[in-house]
Amino acid sequence: MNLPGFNGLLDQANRLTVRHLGWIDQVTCRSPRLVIASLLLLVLVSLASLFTIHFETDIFRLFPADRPAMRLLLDSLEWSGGANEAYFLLEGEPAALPAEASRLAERLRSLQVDGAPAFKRVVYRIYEESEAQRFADLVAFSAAHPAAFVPLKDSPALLERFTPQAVNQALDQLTAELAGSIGASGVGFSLADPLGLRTLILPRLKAGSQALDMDPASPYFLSRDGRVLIMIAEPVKPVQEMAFARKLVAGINQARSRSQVKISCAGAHISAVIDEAAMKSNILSCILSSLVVVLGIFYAVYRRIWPTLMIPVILAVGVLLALGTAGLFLNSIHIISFAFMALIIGLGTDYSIHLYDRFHTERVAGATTDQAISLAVVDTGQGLFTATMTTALPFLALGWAEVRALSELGILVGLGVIFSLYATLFLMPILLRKIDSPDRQYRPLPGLGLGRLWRVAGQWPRPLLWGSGLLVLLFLLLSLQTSFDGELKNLQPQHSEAFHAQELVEQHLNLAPKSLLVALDGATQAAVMQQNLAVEALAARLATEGRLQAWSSLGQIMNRREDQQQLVTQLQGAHVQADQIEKSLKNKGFSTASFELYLNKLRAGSLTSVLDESVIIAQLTASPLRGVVDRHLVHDRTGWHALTYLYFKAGQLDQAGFVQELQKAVPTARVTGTDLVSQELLAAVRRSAVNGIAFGGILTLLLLLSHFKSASGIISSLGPVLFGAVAMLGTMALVGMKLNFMNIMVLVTIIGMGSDYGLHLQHRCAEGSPDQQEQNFIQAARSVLLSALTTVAGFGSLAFTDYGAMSSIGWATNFGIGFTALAALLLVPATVRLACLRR
Amino acid sequence: MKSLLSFLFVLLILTAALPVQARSLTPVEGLEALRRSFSGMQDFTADLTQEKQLSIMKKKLVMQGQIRFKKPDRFFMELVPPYSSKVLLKDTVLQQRLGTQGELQRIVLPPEQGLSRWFATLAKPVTAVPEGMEVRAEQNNSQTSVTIRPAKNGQLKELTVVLHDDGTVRKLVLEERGGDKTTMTFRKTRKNVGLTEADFRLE
Repeated sequence: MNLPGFNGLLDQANRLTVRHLGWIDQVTCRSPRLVIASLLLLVLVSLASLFTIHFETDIFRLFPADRPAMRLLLDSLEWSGGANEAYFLLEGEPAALPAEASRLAERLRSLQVDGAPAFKRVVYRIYEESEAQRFADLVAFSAAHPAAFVPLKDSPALLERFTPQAVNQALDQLTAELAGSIGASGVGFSLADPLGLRTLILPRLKAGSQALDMDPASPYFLSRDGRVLIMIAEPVKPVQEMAFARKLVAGINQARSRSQVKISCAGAHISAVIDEAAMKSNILSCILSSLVVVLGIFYAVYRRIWPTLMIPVILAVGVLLALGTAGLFLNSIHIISFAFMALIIGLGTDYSIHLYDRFHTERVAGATTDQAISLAVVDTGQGLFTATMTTALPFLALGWAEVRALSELGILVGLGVIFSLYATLFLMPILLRKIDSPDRQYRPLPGLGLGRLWRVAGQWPRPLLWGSGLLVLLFLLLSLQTSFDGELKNLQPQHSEAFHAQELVEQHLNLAPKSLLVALDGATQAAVMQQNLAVEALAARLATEGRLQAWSSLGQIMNRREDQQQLVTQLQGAHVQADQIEKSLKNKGFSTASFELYLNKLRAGSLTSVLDESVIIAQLTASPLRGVVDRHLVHDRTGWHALTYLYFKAGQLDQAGFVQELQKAVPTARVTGTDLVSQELLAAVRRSAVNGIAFGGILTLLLLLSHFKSASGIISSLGPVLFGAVAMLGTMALVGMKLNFMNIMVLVTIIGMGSDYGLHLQHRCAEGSPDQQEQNFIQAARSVLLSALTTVAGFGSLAFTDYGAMSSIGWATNFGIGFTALAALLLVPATVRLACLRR
Repeated sequence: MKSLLSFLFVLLILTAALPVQARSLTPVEGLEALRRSFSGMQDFTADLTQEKQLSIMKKKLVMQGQIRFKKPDRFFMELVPPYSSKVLLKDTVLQQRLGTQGELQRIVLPPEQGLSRWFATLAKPVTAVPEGMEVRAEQNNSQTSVTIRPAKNGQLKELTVVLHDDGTVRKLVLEERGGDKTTMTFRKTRKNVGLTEADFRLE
């Protein structure tokens, strides 16, 4: 390939690579102890760096928190207490749930961590006895200030309540209530609200307080179908304190172990703690299973115990150096990123395979130990060097990905691959020199049918290439059916408690399948409440138009000043007289002195006064409904936040259209929802993928160019990748597997990983006599085949994890690697033979 | 308030069902006699007359009705017009309906105040008067009177149980700290009549 200006540079790069490999060969030969001591020192430094890293388990830290929708989602978790509270979902026979909930609540209330109660509160009932007085106070307030709470549409009913006839009826009803109650238990409410105005107020408060779709007739937090009961518990300490959280979870597990119904525990952070152990064992089993399979493959083919045992050492060095280097510029690493070790086992073993295979082949051919090692390190090493860089650089390019899950994985795998190569180049030759002797007999390695493959490919190169082209077209057509799964929850462990709890809430308790949260931020309560009027008006209009299933804000349970004013004007017209009510009380046999507090409020004009909204909010905050206030109005160190929740079915509300409408009506409003967060993530992932493919692709191309300096070499390397990537997408569509935020990155990493196969084959087979080419092909193809198998073993272990994120990467990579290796083994010999025929 | 409610439910049941021993009783003996007598009972029904003198009313309220109980955790009270109402307690779930068409109200008592829990406690022999509680027991020729003063912080000030020695006529008087007083008189008491779930419905 004639590339003026580049050739000199490429030659220089190749010369440097060869000199570098030659130096490695010499230093491992002459100063093995120095090499080992230096590696040990590096490992020690890496360990020191490793101890500075904080290991995260919080799933939310995997995603970019600076995006508007994700930021608001995280804020809302903090505001709502969702990040701190623990939710217990009891599922089973409806008749058994209350009793089991009662027992669980008792056990949780008595649960102790470090000698102190573990929970501040545990609630699962609509009415808690400890709230009785506060509830009575709220009733007294609302009865004296009905304009604050009675819905405007009920103003005729409210006015009717103050007619003499209605007052007498209400007092008769009151007498019946007092008679029917046990002892004097009804006296409190009677004094607070003798005219029974609470029947006009409480339904609104109750409806507005429903964050979940619960059975309105049940005294428990019970789903409408009666199958799921939810219990909310607030730990005494933030569950981000991991030592406390672990003990808490141990106590929770003990508390629920004796239950007759299934109890799932959820909550943003507590779920992470509960799933932490599962997560760790999942990753550990991945690592161990892939290691066992990889070592098994290596030993089965080469039958050499010491080189087999050297592989874990090489991988351990590679992993430690990668972690230690990452520790220099990463403050923390998510525990999920440790799955990279499984990938390193798959990818890092490739170098040992190629190196050992070449060494063994050369020894069979009669080379001495040093000659065989030098050929393996310098010649095969040249291919390995390029292959490593083409694998590592696309992974490292992901380091700039906006999604932390991808950037961490990219950095760790990229570094791990490079360090694994160097560990192989430095350690394997030392071992081979140590265990080898001149008189040792080396038997030829199994051809694995690859010679026949070479001959078949050489015999029918054109049909093979045309057939491959047709297959690519077929897979391309299939790949057009590939869809994208934007559901974040599908990336979680599919059998985790968090996942199960989320499913339960969606199936049994959600007010609607989809929701949005609108937040207005401001410096004062009055300011955000005032601004939120526009959001409420928009939500009310959407509800009227049938575009919302339900919505909630603080304005849903209390009257804003304008509504109060209208009610007060009507009440003024009704000329309600406290003296008249006092007279009625007296006539019905009541002691008017007992009602003096109520009557004095009326005399002071409570019925006809418009209250400041802050007064009503303060009263609600002091009542059992403070949770409703907390849900819709938050005060934190950044200021006040008014929150409005919108609920709708799929397709009922055009979310993008709503966001535009909202921005027009209230430009300062923020909005979030799972779909919006998914869209943000998708955009971030798409940018990362495009940048990764472009950056990784260009780097790979440059490296291949440097290596081959010919178009045929580049085509041999990238052709199988193209085939593999298209076949991967086509197969995914065929088996109903979707692309997601994680496995979409395989399109980036497959470029580097897959190009290795064609590279090695082309590197070894392009030149020489036909017989020599065949022998070289058999040796290189065996290495490629085994490399592909070990890579599949590494990623394959991910495919069987419970983590949707990891599993999807595993399957996609296995499809991609499998097809790429197959294409390389068939198409490279075909193109090589075709080129020979043309020559 | 509901602690008081559940306590009263238990006392209602106990006092309606007990036969009486005509002898002088110490506080512990009085409580133990109540417990022992209850232990042989599976269910009972009784007609009820309830008189209430509430601090917020000048007139006395007088109601007629019926109560039913079934072990381990069912209690039902129905008052007839002019103050008709029904109350059903299923262990910890209290339901009340005023009149025949009134809205059903439901609240849940804390588990420690559930009927089953009370009766599980009462199944154990009384060996001492509970802390903070005062008990007086008096006996004359035809009836025994046990007066209980619960712990000072509660809403209930004093409860007096009047038991006739034939075990069929009973009275319960409860005085609350707000000055409210309720007197319940039971008659036509029948024990172990085989009540079923159908007898414990609000419909």
